[in-house]
Amino acid sequence: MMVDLLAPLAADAILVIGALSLLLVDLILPPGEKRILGYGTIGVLLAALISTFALDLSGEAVGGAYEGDALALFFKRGFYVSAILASLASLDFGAKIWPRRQGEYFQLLLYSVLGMSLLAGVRDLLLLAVAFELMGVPLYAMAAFSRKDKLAVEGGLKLYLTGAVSSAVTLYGMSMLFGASGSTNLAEIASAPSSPMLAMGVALTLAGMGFKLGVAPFHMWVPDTYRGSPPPFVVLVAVAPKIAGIAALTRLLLAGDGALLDSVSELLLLLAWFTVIVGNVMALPQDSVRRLLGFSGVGHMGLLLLGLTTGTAEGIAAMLFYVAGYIFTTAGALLVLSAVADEDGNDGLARFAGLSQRSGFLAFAMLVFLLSLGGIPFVVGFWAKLYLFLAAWGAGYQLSVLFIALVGVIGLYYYLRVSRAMYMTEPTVEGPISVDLGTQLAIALCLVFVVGMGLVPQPFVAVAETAASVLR
Amino acid sequence: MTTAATLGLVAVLGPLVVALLLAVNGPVRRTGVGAGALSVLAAIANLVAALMLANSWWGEHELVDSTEWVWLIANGETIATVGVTIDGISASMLAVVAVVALCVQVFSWSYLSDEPKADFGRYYMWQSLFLFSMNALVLAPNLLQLFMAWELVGVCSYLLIGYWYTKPSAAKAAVKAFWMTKLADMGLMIGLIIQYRVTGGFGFHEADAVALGASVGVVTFCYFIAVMGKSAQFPLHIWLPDAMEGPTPVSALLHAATMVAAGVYLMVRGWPLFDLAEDTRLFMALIGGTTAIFAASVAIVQTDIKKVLAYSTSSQLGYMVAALGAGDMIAGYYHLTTHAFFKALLFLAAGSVIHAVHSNELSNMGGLAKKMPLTAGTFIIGTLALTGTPGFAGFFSKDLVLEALLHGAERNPVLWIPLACCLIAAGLTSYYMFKVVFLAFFGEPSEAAGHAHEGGIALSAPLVLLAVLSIGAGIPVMGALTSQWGHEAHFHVSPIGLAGTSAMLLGLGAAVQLHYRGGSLPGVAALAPVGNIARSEAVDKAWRVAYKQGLRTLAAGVSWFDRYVIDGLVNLSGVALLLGAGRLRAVQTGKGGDYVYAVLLGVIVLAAWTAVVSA
Repeated sequence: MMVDLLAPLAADAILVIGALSLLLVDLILPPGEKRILGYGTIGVLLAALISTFALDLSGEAVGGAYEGDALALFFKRGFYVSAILASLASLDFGAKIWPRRQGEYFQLLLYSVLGMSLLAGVRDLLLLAVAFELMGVPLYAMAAFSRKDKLAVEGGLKLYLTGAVSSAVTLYGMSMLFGASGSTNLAEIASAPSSPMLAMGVALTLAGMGFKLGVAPFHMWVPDTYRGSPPPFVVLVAVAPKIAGIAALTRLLLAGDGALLDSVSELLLLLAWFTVIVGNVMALPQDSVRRLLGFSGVGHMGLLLLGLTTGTAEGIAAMLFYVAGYIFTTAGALLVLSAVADEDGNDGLARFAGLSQRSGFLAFAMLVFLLSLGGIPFVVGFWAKLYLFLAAWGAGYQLSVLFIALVGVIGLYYYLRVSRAMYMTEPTVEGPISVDLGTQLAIALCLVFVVGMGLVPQPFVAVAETAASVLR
Repeated sequence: MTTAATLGLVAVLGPLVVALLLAVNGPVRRTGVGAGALSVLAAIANLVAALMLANSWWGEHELVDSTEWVWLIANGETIATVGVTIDGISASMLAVVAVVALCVQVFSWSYLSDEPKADFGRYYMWQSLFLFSMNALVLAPNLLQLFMAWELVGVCSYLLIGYWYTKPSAAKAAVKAFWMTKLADMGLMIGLIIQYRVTGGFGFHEADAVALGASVGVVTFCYFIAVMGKSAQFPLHIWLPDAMEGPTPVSALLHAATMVAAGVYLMVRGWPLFDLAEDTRLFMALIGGTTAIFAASVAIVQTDIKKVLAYSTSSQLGYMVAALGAGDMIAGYYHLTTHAFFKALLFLAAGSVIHAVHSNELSNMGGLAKKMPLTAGTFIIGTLALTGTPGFAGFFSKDLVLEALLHGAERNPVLWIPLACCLIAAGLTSYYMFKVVFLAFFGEPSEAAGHAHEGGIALSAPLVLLAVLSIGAGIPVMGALTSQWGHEAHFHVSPIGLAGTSAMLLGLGAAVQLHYRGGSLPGVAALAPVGNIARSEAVDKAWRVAYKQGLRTLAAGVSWFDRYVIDGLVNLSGVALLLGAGRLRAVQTGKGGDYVYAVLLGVIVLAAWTAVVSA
């Protein structure tokens, strides 16, 4: 009976059991062999990923607070994949920088992923709040995991400060939602008669989630955290929590008949426009490539918001496809960056100068990721943009499409700056770059998917459509 | 699959295979010569396939063969298909591209022979990638595939302009060219989105044009924005002169014969749509006419031989756009094909000169006719074709363009403006081209020109082939094109044709008068009595005054406008954006407290908005 109730949460259960087992293993492992914990974590994540394909995870759980539908599966896979990519990059880095504390790092990672994983199918306000914090709190600790690195501690603190304020705002908004509807069930909240309190509740919740997404004006933590935190952590924080934010927003706004979305659609568009401008313009003067990618990531969130605003099956499917492309493209670019940045974390354009001569593989991979971020054909970014624009235009958001498409061209300039540094300047640092095997594997995986989804987009679009068909 | 489709696939995929092979296999690429040989082989296979296709089209007149595979289905509807379409337009364009591409690849072999091996291999990798993209563009069965290939040729252009990346100006020019054309490309993207939303597809046939209904105007206008970027139309032409930083054979292939012509090709391909869009076509005619005269004026005061040719390209593209705007697709397309040959010839011959004297500046040339007779001869043939000398390929196509504009003007008087622009531009073209001929090939040789000598067979063979085509492509191509579309376009002597030829002669006369210092000019000697009058002091003085105070001042003014106002605006907007963004950086103070305030400010804005909306 108990097993039946939890069956849709089998993947999450794997994470819990895996994390606790690794905790025990950590206790008995001699200090020199903590590396195994990293492999173990990847194994746990892989098992969870496989379970989403192999097991039947559909149905309600936790008394209706969670539902394992196709959309939940889609998001879960996204979280697991991005966590695997980040873990692969953490293997060597962790063993080198914090050899004794590797276990803690991966513990935190697994708990954060568990929080995201629960968000994927959330149907209830309470679970939403709990899962959101479960995801967020470990991230604060991980951001400042290099305790002696001032920049890392600073980045972590800023993440925590703004995160705490956002959480407070979210909870306040949720209490209003409950007050206005008398229910914590998302579908029931959506069907409650519209009132100023309900609208305010949605707006405040939106503000809180906008923080996780890195939507302007809640994006301030993004560049600082990207710059200061350990590079493998940036791979995680740039992708997974943002997608979790999108998952939570999708669940909340499109619950029931989507009445909540209608009440804030103008607000969402406003945020989307503002986010696209801030992301693209602020990226221009950055010298640190990580900060640059941070702002570029902010810009991409604007596009996702546009997709969400449409609320149509086609628009949501396009948004989900964009999410899938974003995972591999952004993670790939940040993985290359973590390989190129020096030991002090310097990642100025100068570090990229002449990269093609120092490591042809890294330069080529970065070029492909940049092309994809810029929306050039034959890589996933092109289809993602085209599909999203087609859907948004069809849903009646012509002006937004025009605006966002044009502002996006500004973005090309900074992608060109990086590719120009890699291919069209002489290296300032001599000698080939050595990249650890884990990072190499992760980059290769991203490369395969970015190119593969560009050449054969059909299966991924089909999956995104199935996932989107759950709503409305 | 039919033979035609198979040949089309060979043309598209052959260069792609080579490009991928060279990208993946570093050792082969770094051999240099091996990479070049593979690339040239693919170009030869491509030419064979293209000629076989063109040949079957020549005989049958109506060969339409389209093979498509579904690429992406979303929402139950097909979004993207990929494949090849073979018909009169694509087969002839494929042949033009194939000929020029092979000539350029062979020419480059010798031109870049001093480059390091790895760079040589890299160059041919990109050449192959470009050939693939261009062929995919030409044979595209729908506008979406055309758009994807269009973006890819832009990337190739970026890579090839920046080939000599150690020159900062080359790297800068590459970025600028890419960014400007990409901005214009958004027009194409938006146009495609509208077309898909209205018709459910990206087709370019009559049925699609009809299905567009009232939207045909806005869709074609969006497409034309992208054309202005790609085909260097005023005021988006400004990237083209900068693009001359790339190796000269690249300029010949991409920035004269094929890639920049892709914009015109898009309109020819999508002609059923443009045919119905009266307003867009009027706009096209005006922009085309403006570009023709504007770019020709700027070309007059250029001292760099490649810049002269670059502005000339922009000007000639203006002719094509104007002809299409006047409603005559064949005239525009015909000028595209002849222009591809003679402009590629001019660029390659210029490259041969640059190779010999190691400078682009006309002042470092002079008297080269004796040292490099073949180069001089072929350059002059190219010049005669470009200026529209009777009998040469350019004469027939330019005549057709002028007639198209005249016919258009009879229906819509506004078209007198582009017609006048094109007529004056014909005179200017003749002037600046013959000026280049006289300065580079006649007169006293400069110091650098003293040691110049003719290049090897790899340099001269492409010149000869293109020279033959610049002479011979006139009548037969026109015959083929007109029979293909059953369109009456016989050549006949007409007032407008005579006006064009007169303008050309006037330009020639001005050039002789002002720049010819080479002793006896063959043919001029026979006209000694006329020559004497022409050389009399009074006439000479009149010419000089007219030139200095009229033409040259005007051209200098236009050129100033081009460099400082149009280009300045482009650069200024970039700088302003960067500066503005730099200022905004101050917002990102790095103080934790400020970040919290920002979050709270956002919350307040959101709450206020909601309060106002829901109140």
